Amino acid sequence: MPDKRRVKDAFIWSASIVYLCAILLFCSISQAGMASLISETTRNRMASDRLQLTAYNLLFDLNLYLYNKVGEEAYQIAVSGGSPTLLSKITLEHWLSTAKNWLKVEGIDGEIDTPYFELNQHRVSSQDAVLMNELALPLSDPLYIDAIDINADLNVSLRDMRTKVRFQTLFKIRSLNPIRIFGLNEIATKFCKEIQIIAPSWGSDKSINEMVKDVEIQFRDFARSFLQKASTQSYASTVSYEIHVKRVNAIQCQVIIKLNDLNITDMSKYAYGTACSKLARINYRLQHREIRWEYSTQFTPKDFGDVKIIGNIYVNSA
Amino acid sequence: MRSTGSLTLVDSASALGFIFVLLIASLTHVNPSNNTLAMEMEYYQKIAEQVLLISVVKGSMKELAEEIESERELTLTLLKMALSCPSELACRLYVYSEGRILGSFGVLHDTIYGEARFFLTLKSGAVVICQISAG
Repeated sequence: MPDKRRVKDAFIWSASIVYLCAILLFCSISQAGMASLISETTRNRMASDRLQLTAYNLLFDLNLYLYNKVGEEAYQIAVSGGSPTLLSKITLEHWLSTAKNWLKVEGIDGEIDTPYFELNQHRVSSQDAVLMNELALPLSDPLYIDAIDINADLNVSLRDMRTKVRFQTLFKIRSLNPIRIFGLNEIATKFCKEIQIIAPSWGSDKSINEMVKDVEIQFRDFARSFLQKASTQSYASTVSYEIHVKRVNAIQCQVIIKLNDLNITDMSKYAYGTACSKLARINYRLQHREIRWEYSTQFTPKDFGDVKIIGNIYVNSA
Repeated sequence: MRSTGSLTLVDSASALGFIFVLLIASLTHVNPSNNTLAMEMEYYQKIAEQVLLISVVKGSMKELAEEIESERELTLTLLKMALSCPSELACRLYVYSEGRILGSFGVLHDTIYGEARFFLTLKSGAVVICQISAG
């Protein structure tokens, strides 16, 4: 029965072809499934990597921003002879708003805040090695004493808007700006205070001319030894002064020491500030300070007069 | 001519056609080149991220920020940064700020590349872009 046999053969062939095709289709579908899984994993991993880089970007950028901002502020404080407490004027609002705008541009839904932020006088080395490397600074240095410790916490919570991948972390910024603004301020104010304390003992019972010379010698001796002590810690100084002695009455004369310009420079090799987009040495400057006292004389009343001496002292860093 | 025992030529031809259609249909499900492309791009992106992070840790990013602020030439620092890229890959770095490119270094040898961006908050924000492709 040829017809029956033909039908049977046709059925076997057709069945085997359908079976073969079914296997192929199954393999193809599972392969497609695997491919889309790999593709999705890759996409998520790329998004997660990008979020991690963005989080580290925020950490490193804040560290650099604080370093620059503190440098600029310290430069201004030094120029005006102000107190380092003025560093507390620094706020992070500008950085936070700029960083949030950047995240938006990058297609990242982000929440960032800085729950803790403090600038202190450096005492103990607790800096983060990676953050110090970023600033091209060694982890510790004897000249960091009296520099500015930068301490801040940065909370970062990021979400990729396309893949919905999340990344959340808390960074601790333990960094430093090597400008020794605390040291500069301390030396300058101590210099003025000490003169104020010991200067009234300077003077002599000679003529006004000799007295003014004596006061100058004692002032120069004091200033030199004081500033030389500071120079051993890499500070250089210049003082321009004016000494003025005038007879007030028969038994008294007035002595005035005017510190026209007291300039103390931080000569540490890392201490630079930014002025007009250029790196500049930090000069702490006190101007027009006056120390005056009355001195009881025993020289003759005819020796009335008014004598003035102007001078400068330069002390380089050791 | 008709075959007496088994299948005819028409049967075989239609079976082959059927297989061909099924194969085409199944192959359209898979686009292996896309998948490979994604993985390749992921690899390049990762390298680009590493190049940027290494530059930060080495202090080159700070140097670059100072040069941007003082409007100096950036090429030398970008070259230093590009040195962290593996030699078998091609690397291109450029700095973008306020709608213009401030400086660039390197060329890409392939249209398939991975990219990473690093933002710097300077007086005006700047973005350092690193792109990596096959060498």
